[in-house]
Amino acid sequence: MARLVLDRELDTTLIVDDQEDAREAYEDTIEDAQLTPISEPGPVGAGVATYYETIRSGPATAALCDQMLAHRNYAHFEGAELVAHCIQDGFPAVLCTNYDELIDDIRPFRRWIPSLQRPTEMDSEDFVQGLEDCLYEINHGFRPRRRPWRTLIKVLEVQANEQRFLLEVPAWSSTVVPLKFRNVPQEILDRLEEDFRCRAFVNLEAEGLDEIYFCDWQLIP
Amino acid sequence: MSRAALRFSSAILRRLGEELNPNADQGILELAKNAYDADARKCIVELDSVGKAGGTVRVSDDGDSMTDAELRDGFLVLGRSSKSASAKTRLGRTPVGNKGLGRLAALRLGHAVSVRARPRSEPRSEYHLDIDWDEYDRVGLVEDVPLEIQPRRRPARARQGTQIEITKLRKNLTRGDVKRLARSLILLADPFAEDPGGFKPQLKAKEFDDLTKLVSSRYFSDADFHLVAEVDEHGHASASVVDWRGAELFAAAHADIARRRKKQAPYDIPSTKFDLWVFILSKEAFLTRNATLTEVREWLKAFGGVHLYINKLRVSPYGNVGDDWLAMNARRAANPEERPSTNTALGRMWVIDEDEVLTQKTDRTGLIENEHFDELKAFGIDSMDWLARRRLEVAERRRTAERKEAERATRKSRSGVRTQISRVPEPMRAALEKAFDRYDASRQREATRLRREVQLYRTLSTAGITAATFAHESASNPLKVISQSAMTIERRGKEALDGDYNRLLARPVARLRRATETLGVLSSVTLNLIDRDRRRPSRVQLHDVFDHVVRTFRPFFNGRDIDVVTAYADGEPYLRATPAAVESILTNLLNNAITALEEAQVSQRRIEIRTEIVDDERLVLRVLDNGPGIDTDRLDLRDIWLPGETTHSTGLGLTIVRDAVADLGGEVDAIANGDLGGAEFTVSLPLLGA
Repeated sequence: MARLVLDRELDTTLIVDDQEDAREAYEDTIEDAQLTPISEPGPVGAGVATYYETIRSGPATAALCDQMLAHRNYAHFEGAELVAHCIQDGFPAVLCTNYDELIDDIRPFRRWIPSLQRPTEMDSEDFVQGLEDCLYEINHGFRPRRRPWRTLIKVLEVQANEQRFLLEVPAWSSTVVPLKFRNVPQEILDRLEEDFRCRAFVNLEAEGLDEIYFCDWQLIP
Repeated sequence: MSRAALRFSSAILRRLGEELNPNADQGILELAKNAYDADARKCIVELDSVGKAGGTVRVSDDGDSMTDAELRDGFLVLGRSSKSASAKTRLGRTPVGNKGLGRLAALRLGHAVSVRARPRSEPRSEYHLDIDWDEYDRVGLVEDVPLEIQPRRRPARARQGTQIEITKLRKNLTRGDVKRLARSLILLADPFAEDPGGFKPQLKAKEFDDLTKLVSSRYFSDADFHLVAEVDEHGHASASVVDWRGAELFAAAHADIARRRKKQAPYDIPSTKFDLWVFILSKEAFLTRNATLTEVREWLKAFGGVHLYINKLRVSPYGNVGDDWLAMNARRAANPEERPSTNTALGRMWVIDEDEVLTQKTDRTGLIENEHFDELKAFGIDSMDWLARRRLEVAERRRTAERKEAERATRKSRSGVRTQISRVPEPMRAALEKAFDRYDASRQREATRLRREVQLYRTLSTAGITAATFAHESASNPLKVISQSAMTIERRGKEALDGDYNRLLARPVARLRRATETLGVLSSVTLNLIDRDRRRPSRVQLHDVFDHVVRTFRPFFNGRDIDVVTAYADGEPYLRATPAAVESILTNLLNNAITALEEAQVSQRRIEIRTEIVDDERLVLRVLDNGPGIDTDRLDLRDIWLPGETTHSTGLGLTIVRDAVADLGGEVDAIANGDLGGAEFTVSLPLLGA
């Protein structure tokens, strides 16, 4: 089975999920989307780059990926990292997970995740729409409402034990956004303290914490 | 027309010198600062017989010194300085001296001054300048005293530098003067005295021997902990911590320090030694020490942080003021008790890098941030983390000991009271014994109740932690499979059965969907309740939080056929609190109402959440249900707030409500049978605004 999504013909779709039952359930969804599902039974021993090369050299033309892959020793990376890797290389991949409690781990990669869906809501056509969103961004760059803008970042609190800090983007909302230390460049990290201000590119049209992402951090001269 | 010019009376020298700068130590310090600005490494301040008038002060250094012209146009010009704060010296130092008035004060400490300058730029020359201040007292104008700069041939092997000797001191120097001078010299000095390019002031004063030692020893001996961590040539770390007496407190092998590294891998760095002196800057800690808290604080302000030395040379900017390359301050923010910051600790990372794996940037603004530099940082951070863990362990032990000590003290006090009572004559003794027995019994009951309460909290915490840990597996994963399968059944059913789908499958699929929705709450409620961001005080919009709680519980209400109605007052009332505290109030009241309704035979179960704003100052929250109400024959209304008194589940929900409300400065109340027939709980909270 194959179908044309935007300008690309997609057929085999790889399912990367550590739960066998979930993989089987997704197979049905993908079949109903007029695509051919194949499942990755795991464990995936390699790092994310090596595993992506394996995907590339196989039959898959798209992927559906769960976030929590490391729980059962299925993989040594999480789904967001793999999806980001795929998208950067022009390979459409949808991240599908109950993300409410995982969004802080997904956020560092969110820039490269055009489609984040919930398994409790994603039907066949939602999945195809997700692939369309991926291909649009692969071909044309960000969709207008995902485009990042340079803006002021205000650090509210540094939580060293958690290896993270809380920030606010005044131009976006007063929502407190947590971010891990490892997701900002060292020059910013070195200066991190309460009330520290810097700039970053942020998608200011994000509608919630599940959409917002940060990139290209800059010190204010 | 005749020409004229302003001229200065010789009395101006006294005004500008000793009257503007009354403290002798500041004058002498100015000479040491001049040495620092002249890129001297050594600067010896000798105080000879200064305990009485007539003594001598000698300041000698090995700096760049001055030529004939520099003496004439710089040193002897008062009020103008060739130093610019922004221009660095040859060795990259920021000049610290002032406009020469401090120097004038120093030079005028005695009746005479002799300057001997051996400039770096003229290796064979030296210049002598003598000033006899008494001559100025004999003339009217400053310019009336001619000064001579005498060039001399520098003796062979005599090194560059300046020596200024102030003789026949007008006044004695007190111990206070010398102590202030010693403290100021420490603040100029390279803290470790190991950097060949560093400034090493030395104080020589036979009369104040203890103070001269202070300058050389700094305040290291006042540190509460000294961490010594090392990485050997194989990348294996070890560490120990000694107290201020040098006694070892803790020791660690590589596995302890590198426990968070993957497979506890060796550090990929050359042999490194990391010393860190950590100070507990509290008044109590410094009560019995020679140094004062202020002195050490100032010293740490100037030098705190970890300084990096590679092949014996200091590498900037690591450890400079404002540079926190090991993120000490960020890591301390979350745990101020046990972690050092750049304001409470001074450290030295000493690396012998024979293979030059750590390379400096070409502009000398630090090291290239390669993997070895990252590893060096990881070693520093891991060592400090290990120290923090050990200190935390000690703190925990101390707290346990304090608990035991409190119990012992209670027993002792009780026995003391009984002994005293036994000495009271009858019949008063019997009455006192009875009264004390009553008091003791009620205190013991209170202690037992508190112990049970603590135990219950611990048990509930454990249940919460377990639920949160497995929330994903227990709810999220099966949900994914169920909901995907339900959607597949719906899609395929509609296609295959056409019109019969609604008759055969629509209802079971709808049931599946409802069930997955209810199950989904399980994981989100559990994780939401423990979300640490919700435990952070902030402005809390009360109606928003109430809505959030109701939304979260909605599937539970639906599953129990409970109709939940909110009726809020106009406005957006808010206060400063943690969202978790406000949530716990409503969550526990709702839990209570749900449990009550389960027991009732009510056809239309209903919970109402009403708010009212009183005088723009208080929010009154009412939670009512149409359950059976509170059985006041069985339970006194006042007792429902006590732990374990209500029979539902833990019996702790209303106690948590009471405590959370009290923490917010509010009050609680309850009516056995309110507007809806069931219990009605009232919570009154002070507002910041509405």
